[in-house]
Amino acid sequence: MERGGRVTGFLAFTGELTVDVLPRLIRPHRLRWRAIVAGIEQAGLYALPIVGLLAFLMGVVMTYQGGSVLRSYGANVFLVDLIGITMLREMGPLLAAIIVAGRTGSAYAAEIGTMQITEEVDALRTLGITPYEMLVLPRVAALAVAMPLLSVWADAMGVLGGMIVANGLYDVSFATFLDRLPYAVPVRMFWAGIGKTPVFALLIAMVGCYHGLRVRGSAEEVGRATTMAVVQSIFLVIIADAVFSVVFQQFGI
Amino acid sequence: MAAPVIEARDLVTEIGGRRIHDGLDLRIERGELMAIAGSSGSGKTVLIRALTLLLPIAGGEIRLFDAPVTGLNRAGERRLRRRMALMFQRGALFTGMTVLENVMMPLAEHTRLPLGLRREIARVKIRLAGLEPDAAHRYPGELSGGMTKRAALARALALDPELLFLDEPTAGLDPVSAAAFDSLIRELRDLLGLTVVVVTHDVDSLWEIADSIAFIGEGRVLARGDAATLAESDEPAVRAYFSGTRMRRGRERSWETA
Repeated sequence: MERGGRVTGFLAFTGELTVDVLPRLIRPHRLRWRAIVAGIEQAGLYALPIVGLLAFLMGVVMTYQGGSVLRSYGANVFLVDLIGITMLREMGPLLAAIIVAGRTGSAYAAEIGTMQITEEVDALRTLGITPYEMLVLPRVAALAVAMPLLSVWADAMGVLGGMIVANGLYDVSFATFLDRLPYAVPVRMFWAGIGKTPVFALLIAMVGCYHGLRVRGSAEEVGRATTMAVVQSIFLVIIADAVFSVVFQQFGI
Repeated sequence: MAAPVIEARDLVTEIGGRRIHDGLDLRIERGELMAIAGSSGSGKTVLIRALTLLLPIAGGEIRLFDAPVTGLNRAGERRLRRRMALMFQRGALFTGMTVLENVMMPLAEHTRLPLGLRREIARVKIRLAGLEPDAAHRYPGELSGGMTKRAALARALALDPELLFLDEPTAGLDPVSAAAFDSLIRELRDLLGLTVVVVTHDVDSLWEIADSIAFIGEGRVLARGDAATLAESDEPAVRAYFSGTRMRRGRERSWETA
């Protein structure tokens, strides 16, 4: 019963957001560009260090583990395939999405939830501004831009991490690695990875804003909304990733 | 007779399935300063939220400025909201902006005035609400309770509304500030010709400023009139509220000052 209410609640939110936002997209000069740009800075630029570091370490670990197996077959050079494909197609986008869900999705829920409690959301409505226009749309748009860019960054840093370990421990020089990379990893792999990220961004931003707007009453609710936003958005991102895998497989991408 | 500014007929509101108002009727004329009183939990704030279109109503009808408020499209709703303003109980100032930016926000939303002019108008409103000019550049977190109320009032006045709702404007203020705020509201009403609806628990306010008081209870308006009339009301709940000792002291005070 409770779960059913939550699903219909989210559907209602999606519907209201769509009805509110679609007419605005026809007049893009009326969008709140300043809020969108500030959002890209917050969610994208400031996340670069953490996303870069974690992707780099992920690349290091995968190469370290995979390399010891491949070396016993004398197939060190296939590290390029291993790192390239897993990083670009799966790990880069997924890693970025999970960090963004924890970092930005939670912030969205907490910010909007607090605004509910201080009645700022109602104050906006008395001015004839809907929370969708002012609070949700700029956040969703900002993340839809920041997320793919962060994923490219994660891809690059992950591959770099792999490259350094492959060079240091498994005798695959940088030149060899870069030489082989385009053959091992076709460009469509890269696009298959990046293509998923706007969907991840949409899920994270919408779930975060939805839980923020649902807050009523107490500070405790803000905490609960933040937790729910992170847990559900990571859950949905991984489900979406699985669906993409199946669909891409079917279409042979 | 001119049409009333607010007319609620047979109003029904519900929150979380619980019925708050059931068949409430209320008329407020232009230029009237109307207080809404009632014991805690009687739905005063809910009524204000319904009248300011923040809460969808479950039944009945609300007419503002002689037009129904249901079925408005987005542009119609914006036009209507421009003509009225609500001062929230705890201010509800936008926390990321200074007081000046808070007051400029409605102007930026609803007018095409250039930035310099918006800033100037905002400063006038801030002064009108009785705030010192140097408070304009502070953030809401740096304001005292009384200043927050005044800043919220300045924002509510930004667009020169015809209809002003005040939710507990003097709650949490010391008696001197509360009295000053009351006289400010009266002054502004006389100066700007506003219609004012004020929800209050403040006994002094009820005696001092209201032209008439609507007492809410059992989901409807139990009684209406000035405080002296309500003290003689047939409804025991109303009589109890208005003839309690706190009320009597308020009445004595208002006689002294009269």
